[in-house]
This record gives sequence, structure tokens and C-alpha cells, in this order.
Amino acid sequence: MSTPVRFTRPREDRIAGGVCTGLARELRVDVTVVRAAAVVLAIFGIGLVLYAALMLVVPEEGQADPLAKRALDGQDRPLVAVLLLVCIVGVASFDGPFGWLDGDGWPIALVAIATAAVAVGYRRRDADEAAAAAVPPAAPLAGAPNVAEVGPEPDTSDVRIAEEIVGAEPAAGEEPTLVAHAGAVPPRAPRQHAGAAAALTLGIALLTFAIAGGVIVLFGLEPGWDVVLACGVVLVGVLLLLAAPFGGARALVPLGLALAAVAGVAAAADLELEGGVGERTYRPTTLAQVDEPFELSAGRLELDLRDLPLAPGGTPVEVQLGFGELVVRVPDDAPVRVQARAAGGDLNVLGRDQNGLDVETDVEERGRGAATSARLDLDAQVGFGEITVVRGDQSVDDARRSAGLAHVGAWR
Amino acid sequence: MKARLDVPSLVSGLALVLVGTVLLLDRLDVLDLDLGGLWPLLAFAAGASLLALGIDDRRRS
Repeated sequence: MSTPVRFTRPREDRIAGGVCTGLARELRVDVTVVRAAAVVLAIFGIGLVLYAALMLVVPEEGQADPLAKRALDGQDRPLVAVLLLVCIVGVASFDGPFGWLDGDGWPIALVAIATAAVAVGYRRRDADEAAAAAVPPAAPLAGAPNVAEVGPEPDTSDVRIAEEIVGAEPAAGEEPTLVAHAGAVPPRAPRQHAGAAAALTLGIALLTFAIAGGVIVLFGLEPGWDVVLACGVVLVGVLLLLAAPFGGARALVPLGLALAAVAGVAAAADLELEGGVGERTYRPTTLAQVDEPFELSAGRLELDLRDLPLAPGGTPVEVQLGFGELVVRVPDDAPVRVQARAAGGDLNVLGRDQNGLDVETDVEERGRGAATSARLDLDAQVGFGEITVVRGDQSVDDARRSAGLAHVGAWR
Repeated sequence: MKARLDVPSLVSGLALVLVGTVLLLDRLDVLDLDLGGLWPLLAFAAGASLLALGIDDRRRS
């Protein structure tokens, strides 16, 4: 019978606490898959709480006890306190019986995470320095005073690194002592303090975000998440510039590029990611119900306007969807003007079909009823997805089919 | 140990500041970007960062 493998947080190949690397080894999957899942979960908040909780209960590789137990024994108490704070603030920020922060606790959670990152940075720096100090100095070959020539000529960059580790600077007036290379090149030293610098810079970045977030929450500002994202890109860029003269912080490069990609796509698509995720159906019956735009971040939104009374002179209705499918039913007999646009996808508006990138259409139709000034002005926007606008109770599939045939007919 | 200038961080930082500033100007309605106008900028930022990282790694090895 094989001995079960112990679930630990490895010291190698980790970015933060080693939870994802440990899980990947345990589940025998690529660590990138686990990290991607962790990022997705972190977006919803639960990922941060789970990560902190796992850091508390899963022991580090080479240690017998997890952090929670070590704290009881008087070790690692600051780190454990920060992780506990992340858990408590995280749980308090969710909806539910413990949700007393009502979603406004994220700046506090960011401060806690930033503190943890700074703590990890200092621990890594100390570990790097201890490892460098523990490397024994290389001895010259016996019987070959100050000069030994064995084996191939070493790579000069390795000699430079070896000198950095050993501190082999010759004293003034002393003959330089060459280190023997018996066919083996000295091992390349790890980039000193790289992990520590990355953790420290990440900590500073998170602290800055947290302070900005705290100001937003405390003063009730609403800058819009798109502005926050754009500011985040600038901030990461500035941090990289500041870190460059001190050895750099390359760990921030992927973060900055990912932020730039998300912010860029959002800006280009004019995305308004509001209203949550899922499937929504609205059937307004009064004008007051269409005062505010209908919004959904991602999913399927169906807006049925057949029972909406129209005011003379025009009734504006605005609907916005980030990603997914938008279906709007307009009255069968009323005049309608539809302005629809999508950064990428398909527009099928009252039988007219368009698709591609940066598509928009403006369709105006008279209704089948008597002439009236009571017109519906629909403004529909989708970031990436599909907009279908149909009259009355026409089937959406039929509308798409007929629009597709009309599209083919136009090409013929 | 004396720290030295990390060129990839410098190049990536400059590229990100440029991209972030353009995005902010778009949000403030100074510019009006669409997807067709934005992708070259994002490709430039990613390309410059990767190029700097690649050249620096090659120089170190």
C-alpha cells in the first residue's frame, strides 16, 4: 500500500503562499490551471478568503505544523493575524448573516493582503540573505598556490556571479585567487531578492489601490470601474518605472499588461459592467420603470416593451449588456427608432442583420397602427455578443433566420 | 550588492503609463477610441515589454 502524499505548500515554484502549487501537485494538474481558477475566484472575493484559509491550515513544505498551529506556539503571529483579518473581512463583505460590511470591506481586505505581501517580501529577503551567507567559500586547489587551471574555461558571467556570492574580491596588493573548475561550472546563483522585490512592490501597489478605494468608499465617490482600471494601468507603470533603478519588479509586468488588456477592451467597447451576471427578463408597464437604463454585465437580457405605454414625442429606453445575448421586443403597432451598437458581435434589428467588429445600426420604422407621435426610441448596446430586436411576439429564431436570408440575398 | 537598472521594467513601465494615459483620456472624452484604434496600442505595449525581457534575458545568458 502506497503512503498518501501529504498536502503541503511547496517552497519552490510559488508566487505567493504556495497554495496553488500545492493544490496542483495534489490534483496532478498544471499549476497554471489552478492559478487561473484562483484568479477567477478572487474576482468574486471568495478566492481570497479560501487562499488565506488554506495558507492557515496547510503546512509549508518541510514544516510539521500549519501556520495556525505555529501561531498558537508563538511563531509567525503577525502573518497569521493578517490572514485571519483577510478571512474575517472577506466573509463580512459577502451577502448573508455576517455581511455587516455590505460590500464596502474590500479596501480593508486589500490593506491586509498588501501587508501580507510586504511581510512575505521581507521574509524572502531574509531567506535570500541567509542562503547567500550559507554558501561556503570555494577553496583553491592544494599545491597550486593562487593559480589552478583544471577543466574548461568557465563562463565569465558565472565567475562574476560566483564572486558575488563568495565575496572573492582580492585585497589590495594580493594576487587574485582563481577558483578551480574541475570540469564543473559553479551553479548559477538565483536572482537575488527578485522575489522579495516583487512581493514588496506588489504590496505597495495594493496599498495604493486600498487607499484610493478607501477614499472612494468613505466619500461616496463613483469614479466608475473603467476609470479605476485605467488609473490602475498608470499606477502599475509608475511603480515599474520607480522600481527599475533598484533591480526592477518584473512580476508586475504581466499584471500591468492584463489590466491594460481588460481596460482597453472595456474602453473600446464602451462597456458598462453593471447589473450583475445571469439571465434577466424585464417587462415594464409604466414610464417610470424605464427612467433608468436596463443593465447586465454578462448573460442573457430580455426586455419586453409590448406593454409599455408610449408618451407623445418619444419614449427613450436604454439597455446595456457587457457580454452575451440581448433580446428586445417592441410593440407591434407603434413607430420605433432603434440605435444599436456592439464592439463585436451580431446585430439583428427588425430584420436587418450586421455583424463584425465595431458594428452599429440606426433603424426607424413606422408601426402598423394609426399614425401617432408616440414613438419608442430604443438605445441598445452590447460589448461583445448579440442584439436581436423583434416586433410583437415574433419568434427570435425566425427573426434571425429571415435576417440571415436577407443578408445572403443582399450579397447575391 | 549594487542594484542595476532593470531595462525591461523601465520599458514596460513607460509602455503602461502611455497606455493608461490614453485610456484615461478616452474615459474623459478627450479621445474616442474604438477596438480598431486600440489594438495597435495594446500590441505595442505587450510587444515592447516582451522584446525588452527577451533581449535582457539573452544578454544575461
